[in-house]
Amino acid sequence: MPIKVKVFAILKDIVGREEIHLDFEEEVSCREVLRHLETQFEGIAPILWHSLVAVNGQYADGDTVLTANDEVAILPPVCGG
Amino acid sequence: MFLTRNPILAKNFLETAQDYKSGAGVVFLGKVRNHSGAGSTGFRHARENLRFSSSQARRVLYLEYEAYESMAEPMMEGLVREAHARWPLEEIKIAHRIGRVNLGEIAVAIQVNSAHRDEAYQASRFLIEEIKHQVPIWKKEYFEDGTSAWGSCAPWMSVARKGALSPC
Repeated sequence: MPIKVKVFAILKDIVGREEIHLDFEEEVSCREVLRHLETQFEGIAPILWHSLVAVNGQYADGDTVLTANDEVAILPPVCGG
Repeated sequence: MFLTRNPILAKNFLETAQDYKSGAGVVFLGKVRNHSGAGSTGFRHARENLRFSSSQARRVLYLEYEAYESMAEPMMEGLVREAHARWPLEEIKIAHRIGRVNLGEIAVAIQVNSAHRDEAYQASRFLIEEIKHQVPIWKKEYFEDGTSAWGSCAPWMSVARKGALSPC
């Protein structure tokens, strides 16, 4: 099940790119995607767990179950204006 | 479209042609200043690795704004609708820069016109606070000493109810 993860701001700096393409064999929740990223990118955890998650442009919570080709955006604390 | 890569011109937010219903016009201009806000907190991405830190009053050279555009645009549309629902307003106009914004340039501009001043002031304040705290836009400060840091105005407190995650 392919999932596209978009990261922004400091998360993009840590990851080194804007998008991460993941493929899971089984259904996953947003929280499981974050747990997976935590194991892949050193130093990402403190920011990751202070972030909000949106699925296909809508805020979602950790229990939200993803479907194939969903776009998961991980949004670190914002600072516009 | 609220987000723009082009300079925001103040004069475009001061013209009130053909609007004879409004007795009040409030224009807020958020500009790039030459020092980081003392006491503000930020996520720093510098040589000493990634961690939370208090940013000192350092000299800023320029800013770079980044947005999750496909989410930020509809959210700002929603804020405009919400402001119209809460106050009797005639017109709202908003622009927010993305990309590099130099010292003195306008990063965000908000114009609110209404019959009376009270609702224009309130709506203007509401809009800038919501934009700063809710809309997925990030600001990176580039300093004179060659370092840079992502600003962190809002630890998602106001939207925590919408689902900030925890590892367990």
